[in-house]
Amino acid sequence: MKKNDGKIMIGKLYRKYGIVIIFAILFITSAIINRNFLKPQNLINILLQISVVTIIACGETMLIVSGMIDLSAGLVCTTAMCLSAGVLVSTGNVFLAGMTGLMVGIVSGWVNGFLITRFKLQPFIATLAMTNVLKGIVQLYTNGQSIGGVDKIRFLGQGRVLGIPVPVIIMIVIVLLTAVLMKQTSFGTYIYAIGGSEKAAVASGINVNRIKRIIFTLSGALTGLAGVVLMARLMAGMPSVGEGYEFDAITAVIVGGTSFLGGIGTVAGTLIGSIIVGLINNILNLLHISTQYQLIVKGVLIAGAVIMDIQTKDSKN
Amino acid sequence: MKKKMAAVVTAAAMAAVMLAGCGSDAAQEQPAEAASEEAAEEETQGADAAEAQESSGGGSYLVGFANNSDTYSYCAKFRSHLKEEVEAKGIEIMVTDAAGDTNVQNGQIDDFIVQSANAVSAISNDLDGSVPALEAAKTAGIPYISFLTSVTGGDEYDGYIYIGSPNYDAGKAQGEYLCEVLPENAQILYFTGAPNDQQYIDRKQGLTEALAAREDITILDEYNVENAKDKGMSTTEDCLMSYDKFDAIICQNDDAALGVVEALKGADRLSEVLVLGIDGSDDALTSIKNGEMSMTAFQDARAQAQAGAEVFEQLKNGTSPADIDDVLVPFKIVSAENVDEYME
Repeated sequence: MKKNDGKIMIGKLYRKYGIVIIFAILFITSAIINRNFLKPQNLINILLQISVVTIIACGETMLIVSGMIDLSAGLVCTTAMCLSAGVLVSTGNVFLAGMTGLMVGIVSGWVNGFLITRFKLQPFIATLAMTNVLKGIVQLYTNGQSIGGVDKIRFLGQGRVLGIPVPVIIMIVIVLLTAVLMKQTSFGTYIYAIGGSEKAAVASGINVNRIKRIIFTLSGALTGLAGVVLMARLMAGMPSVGEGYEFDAITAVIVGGTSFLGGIGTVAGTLIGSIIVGLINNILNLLHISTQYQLIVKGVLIAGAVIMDIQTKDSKN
Repeated sequence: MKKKMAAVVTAAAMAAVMLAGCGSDAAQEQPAEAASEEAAEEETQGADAAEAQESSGGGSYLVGFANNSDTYSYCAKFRSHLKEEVEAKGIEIMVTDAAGDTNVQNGQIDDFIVQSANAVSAISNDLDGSVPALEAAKTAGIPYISFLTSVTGGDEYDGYIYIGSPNYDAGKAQGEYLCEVLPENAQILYFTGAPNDQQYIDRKQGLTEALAAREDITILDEYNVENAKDKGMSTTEDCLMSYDKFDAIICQNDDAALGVVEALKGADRLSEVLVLGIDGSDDALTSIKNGEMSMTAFQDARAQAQAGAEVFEQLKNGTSPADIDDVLVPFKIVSAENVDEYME
């Protein structure tokens, strides 16, 4: 009994502050062991490097909190990147290119949601299928070649406002908007309700299918936006980049304290989770430690975060 | 046109199965019908092709090519060229994509053999992992042409022919260029692909051996950026923080080098750093033309594909594969001086 109380205590503490404590420890350690870490340019670099994945992770947070997941996010991002690059090259219209990227996300997100609600496909399966379809489309469209000549959109990827890179500003705006959406609106309440218990959500009169489709469409739109930002950052539409970003995004969400079982999690946590992953990659690079170790550290982090999640869930019951 | 129709029918039938679920017997029969329809179409087409060829003197000849990965731009370019060159010689070619998976590629080679290919070929995924594919060709008694990459034990099989550009030479070309242009006591960074790749080993060996001529040059460190543009970019951003000064970043391919260029441009440091790549992709040539990248080792996909088509033609005309030599297409150094010659 006493042991259980302790568990609850640790669980609550972790949920509330654990991620912040881990972040603080990492940050201070990094600052002590490397003199370059605290340079403003380096800190901005970290934010710049996580911007695309964090935008995707905002969508994944909504999905995972509501008990779903999107494995197609990486390829949605690639497709949006390549199609919007193609439109930009052929029309020279930045607005049209941006809208194309967004539409790619919206359409694939809606189709994912439709498959899941209309035919009761598992999100895992529906989005896995979507991944394959999009991979084919990207390869047909690009023939494996990257699409360059997108100089007009340079500002979106390379520009700075008051010294802060534009992708970072976009990321912060998206995080704030998602946080407001999840915490301040009834739509946000529904997201948590569906993730907590879908049956209860249905019983309380929530149109679960409709909400699920909206979540997927919104998440798709964010991923499409991420694809456009990625294109502007790389200054090209590249069919070989983007695959695997869904797992980087999911990692950020999980490390950020969102429960894979649904119902619990915040987008603020996701942002910190994403920063933690970015910070670790950055400090290992600064210390000249090779990529292979970065992968190992990432793996340990994911496992650790989920172990904490299960431990605290157990203590609740 | 007919073939397209059959393909549409097959696709529709498959969609029907997916929608109807696996329980419906009627739906299950459909794809089988459609598939046999398609096979029939292909047979008549094959017969047409054979007729056409007979009138021009040769018999029908069918080859298979399993690409390494359609998403890797150089492989995609090579695949398109090879298909073009081979078809121009009146040889029928089946093309598949292994999407980077050795096991998938080996299966595709098996499929070619089942379809009675006269010869099989591949950008072999793995030095050792592709051995089963080579053995399958050996068992079937048909030639195995390995493009760009080698397969262990290939030299012991008479039907094995290698066509490619030795990766060692690409690294060596980079090293020789650096020896010429770098200032005294220069410090450089090396951005690579996956270290378990033969290409990585060969390119690195070529580079380090060429650099041995200049003992004052220091390789500060080596990073695995997976030959990808996004990783090349973010790693450069980090290196700009952790090193006060470096004179060059040498990449194992052009994609990574182009990422390096973007990061250096963003930090306004491009003028102090030389950026080198390998492949000679269109984007890299444009970058050299614009004075951004310094040099790339041009790998001639067209010449490699032409060599491949010529080998297939020789085989078709009855030359024994044992009498056909490996074809080595040299890498060429491309810099600002001669980039115009390579731009299309």
